[in-house]
Amino acid sequence: MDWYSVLVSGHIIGTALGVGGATISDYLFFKSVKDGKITAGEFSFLKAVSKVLWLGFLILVFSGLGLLFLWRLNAGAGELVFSSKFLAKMTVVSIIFFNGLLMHWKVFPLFEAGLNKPLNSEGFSKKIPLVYSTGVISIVSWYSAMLLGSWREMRFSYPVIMIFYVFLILAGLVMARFVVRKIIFKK
Amino acid sequence: MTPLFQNFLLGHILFGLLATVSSVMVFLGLVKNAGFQKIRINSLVGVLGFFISWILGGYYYVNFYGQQVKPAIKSGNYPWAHGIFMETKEHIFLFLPFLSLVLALLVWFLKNEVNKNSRLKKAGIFLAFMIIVLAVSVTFMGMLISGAVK
Repeated sequence: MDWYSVLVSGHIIGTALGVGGATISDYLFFKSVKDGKITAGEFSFLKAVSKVLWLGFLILVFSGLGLLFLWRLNAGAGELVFSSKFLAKMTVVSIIFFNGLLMHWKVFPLFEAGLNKPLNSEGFSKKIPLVYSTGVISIVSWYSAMLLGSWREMRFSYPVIMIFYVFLILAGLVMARFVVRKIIFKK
Repeated sequence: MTPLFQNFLLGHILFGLLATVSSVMVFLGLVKNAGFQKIRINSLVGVLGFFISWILGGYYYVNFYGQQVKPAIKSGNYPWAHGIFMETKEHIFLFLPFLSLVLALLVWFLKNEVNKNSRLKKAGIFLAFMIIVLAVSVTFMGMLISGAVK
């Protein structure tokens, strides 16, 4: 197996872990809040999935930079690096990274402080938009990064791709708000 | 590119990434109030990683980039990749290892003060965050510069 195959396999594994992790994480969140609270067991599952997500992200970044390094040594990567699709993918990957940091910084401590307490309490309900926003950004970004990496015929310009991405996030936020109001606040 | 410069460039990337990951661990350790032993080790790995990446990148820059890569970029389709991104990257990279050294000194020698003083802790978190932001931007600049080589 040559380096190229190893790196491409790594890139696919990293994406699979990230997309799978983001999907399971969001599913677990909505399943956990159904009874109006998050238990210690549910929180530990969320943390475990988050570790898988970070692992996927690390593999994705290391393999991606490895692929770029190989292209740099061989044919050059100019057309790829300056393509709209690649620049959009890098933007989305940065958003995944900083959104992940925000989750660990603000959202997880919130869960930890509110274990076994009603989620519709005044303190938590004020911060619930932050919780579902980071979840929506995570899942939309992971699927977008996967699509941008795999959709070879895509010829849209950078602004068009980013407008579509922002639209997906906004649509996801509206949906998440609706679901959260139904499940947690029973409205 | 000779194998020596290939290895130097690869080492520059890998040690830079390792240092960035360690800085993320320091950041997360501080925000989550994790054990100081873990934070200290990560901060040390961060400093070493940035300094090794700095030396390898510096050697590559002086002995190979300036003579062979820079002229190729300047005569290519993206000459601004050197004019803007390499110039910026150089300057950011000059102080990135020292910023991580400040962070390491903070968590190694002021542990009690960081635990007691929330403002100092917030400053440490902000410093770790700035190191991450700068390291990520330097990584992207490096990618664009590599892409600009004909």
